[in-house]
Amino acid sequence: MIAHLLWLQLPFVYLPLLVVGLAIYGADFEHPSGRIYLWTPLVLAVLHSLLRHFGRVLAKREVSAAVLILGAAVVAYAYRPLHMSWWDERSTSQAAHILAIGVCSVFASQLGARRVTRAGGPDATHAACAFAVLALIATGGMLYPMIALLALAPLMAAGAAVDDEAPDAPRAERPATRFGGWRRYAVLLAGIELSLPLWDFQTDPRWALFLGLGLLGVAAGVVLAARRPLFAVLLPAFATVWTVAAAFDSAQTVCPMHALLVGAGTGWLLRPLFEARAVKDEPASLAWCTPVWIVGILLGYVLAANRSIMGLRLLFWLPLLIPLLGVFRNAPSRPSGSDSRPTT
Amino acid sequence: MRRALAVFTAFAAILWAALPLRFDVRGPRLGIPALLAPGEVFTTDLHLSHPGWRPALEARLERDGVSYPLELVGDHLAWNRLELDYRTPPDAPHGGYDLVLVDDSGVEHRRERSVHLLPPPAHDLRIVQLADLPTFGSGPPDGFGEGPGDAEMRQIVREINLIRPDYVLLSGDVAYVGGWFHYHKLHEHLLDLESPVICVLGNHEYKGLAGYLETMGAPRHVVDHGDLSFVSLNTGHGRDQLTASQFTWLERVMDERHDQRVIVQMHHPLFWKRKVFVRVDEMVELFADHEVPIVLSGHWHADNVFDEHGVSRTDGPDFPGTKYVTTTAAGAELHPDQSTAFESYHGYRVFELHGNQLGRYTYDGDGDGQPDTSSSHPAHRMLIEDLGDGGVRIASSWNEDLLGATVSLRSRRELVPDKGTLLRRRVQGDMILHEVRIDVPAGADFVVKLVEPRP
Ligand SMILES: [Fe+2]
Repeated sequence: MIAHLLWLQLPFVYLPLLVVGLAIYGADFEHPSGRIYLWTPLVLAVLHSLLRHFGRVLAKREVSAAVLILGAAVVAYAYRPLHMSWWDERSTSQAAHILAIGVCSVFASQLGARRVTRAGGPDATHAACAFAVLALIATGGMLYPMIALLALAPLMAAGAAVDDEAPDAPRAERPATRFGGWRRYAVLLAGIELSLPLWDFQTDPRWALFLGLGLLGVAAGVVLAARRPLFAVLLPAFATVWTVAAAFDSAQTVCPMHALLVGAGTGWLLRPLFEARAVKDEPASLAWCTPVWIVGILLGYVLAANRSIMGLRLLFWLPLLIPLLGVFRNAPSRPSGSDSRPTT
Repeated sequence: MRRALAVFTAFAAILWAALPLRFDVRGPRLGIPALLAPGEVFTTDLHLSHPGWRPALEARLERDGVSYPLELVGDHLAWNRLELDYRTPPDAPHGGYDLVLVDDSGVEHRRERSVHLLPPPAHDLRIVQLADLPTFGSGPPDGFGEGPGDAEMRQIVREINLIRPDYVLLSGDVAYVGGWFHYHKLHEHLLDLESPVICVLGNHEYKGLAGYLETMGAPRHVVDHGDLSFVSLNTGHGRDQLTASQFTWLERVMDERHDQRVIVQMHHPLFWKRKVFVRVDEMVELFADHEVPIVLSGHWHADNVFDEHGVSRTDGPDFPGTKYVTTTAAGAELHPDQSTAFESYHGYRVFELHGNQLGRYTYDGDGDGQPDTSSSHPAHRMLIEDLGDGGVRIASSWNEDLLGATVSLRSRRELVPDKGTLLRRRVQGDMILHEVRIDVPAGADFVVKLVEPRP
């Protein structure tokens, strides 16, 4: 599970928190700090791709342990100034620290991904457990908004200590699921929907509860997606009710149940990712899922900030498509993936 | 070996962030003060660097160099929030105090003028509201130094001290450029105000939100004083246009205060253009249900008054229901096109409250002897000049009388004023401050000074 945690923390904790900090507290792109934030996504993307192609040296056990322990120390050092103070858009040192944590997060994610790949591909149960732990970590933001960044330090340390997804019996042949098209679109919509409470609560750190509940929902969705008959009916029904309510009155988005259900819908959509065969050192195509999900969170912000514009308000209807897509796209395509699923 | 190192790193990382154990005093603050009578209890809200930790603290109030110890009468710890209830000394004189908390290593945490000891609110009150302040400092946005905005603000502070309202409300865009330095400057200026200040942010505060939160505190809040409550809402432009969670909070706050007199301030007006866009009808209904006499805003840099149907009133200031009032800028650029006032100028709003009825809330701008429909009081038309010998010259260019003004006169000895009524004396270092109540008629120009008491 720890390899999955390391792999998934980048898209589901670090990147959302970066967006939350920048969106809630603002960014001044004429200030050096703002320019660092502008470069951050590019630097992380380039680093990610470099590590994918040239990071074989990281596969060595000693090297990966050393990188993870060093990363844990860097994360702790970089997080400390944020612990008791506000996210400051005009602090150059804070921007540098956030970038440093991002670099550690990319290293951790790549190491995690390599371990998952080495084990033959991702595992739905491990992924669900990882999402549950990430949910707990995210909820800690209620106490200290950015504490989830610090959580990367013990995660990396744990990764150095435990190599739990070391090669075991090769997982049987799996489908090379393409996580594309409609599914990507649905993840985009989930990003929009799940980010709405974050923009609603703003500086009130109770938004962390909703991020946590969303991730807990994802964990539940990944697990429950295996029990198709019950889940395939109940989830879209509930999620439809909630999303329609959200379209009429955005107050619905700050209902905890809403975050859980949309999270569950997302988990259901993501499940095929965790049943797919690893392709070229990349456990399924999370690389495609991540940018779409982050763009969704950003779009959610644009929607929330311009709620008064009628045309944009109508876009609140879009998330309704998640459950519908689930029914019409996901369910019929599942049997092939599901039936050939090996025992894990 | 690898495992031991990993476990050590994990623990060290967490401890590194939380240690040394430290705390932040979130409330009360200068702009979110505790208002209470001597002998009453107020709550201090601490944010702890480590959940579950209780710092050993000594607490006191300080004013004019004199300390008054506080008695801890209760505490409540919830994760990383510690609430401490302190009883104020019954014999402490009325006025604004610094709250000082000293931890066991001797480090002092001071929240300046965050506690005001006052009598319970009277039936008749005078309140001043201002918004869209001048830009403090000089040079580039983060540049230090004095600028014309500082002189303007000092003059406004002198005028408000003369008017001596029971409360001062600051309705957003309080440090127009929004850098840390500007909030420190704002804080300095506000320390010179004698009345308690209740401050809320506007859209410009989102240009340096961390600076605002650190200096002035929470973005939305409620300040209670006896049967009076001030609700301050965050309408920061484009982001938090009364979000669902804030509206739920507002409903709860109003519900808990159904017997109270409630005054509401929010930076954005509720009506017309450049306003709050969402949940307007619900808010108007809520305020009507609670018979809120006045809802105060800024943002337009212009005077305007609306009734609860959203109609801009030009037929006189008296009409039934809640008054939705926007006040001209105190220092930022004026927008006369959005004003319904006789004249556009920098100013502030002076209003009276009689019980829960709004009294006079507009200025007689055209000088016809009647208050206008929407005019606020002009700034920079009341000269208050310290003559340095215990005398103060007051020259009013107002069209109306200022009744019950308070002027502060300094001397080294106890003297008496040659005009007005001596309210009280305060010792400040080696000087004695004499507070004198006096009426300032329209157009008056006179000197009030301290003289030897007659035998
Ligand atoms: Fe404004």
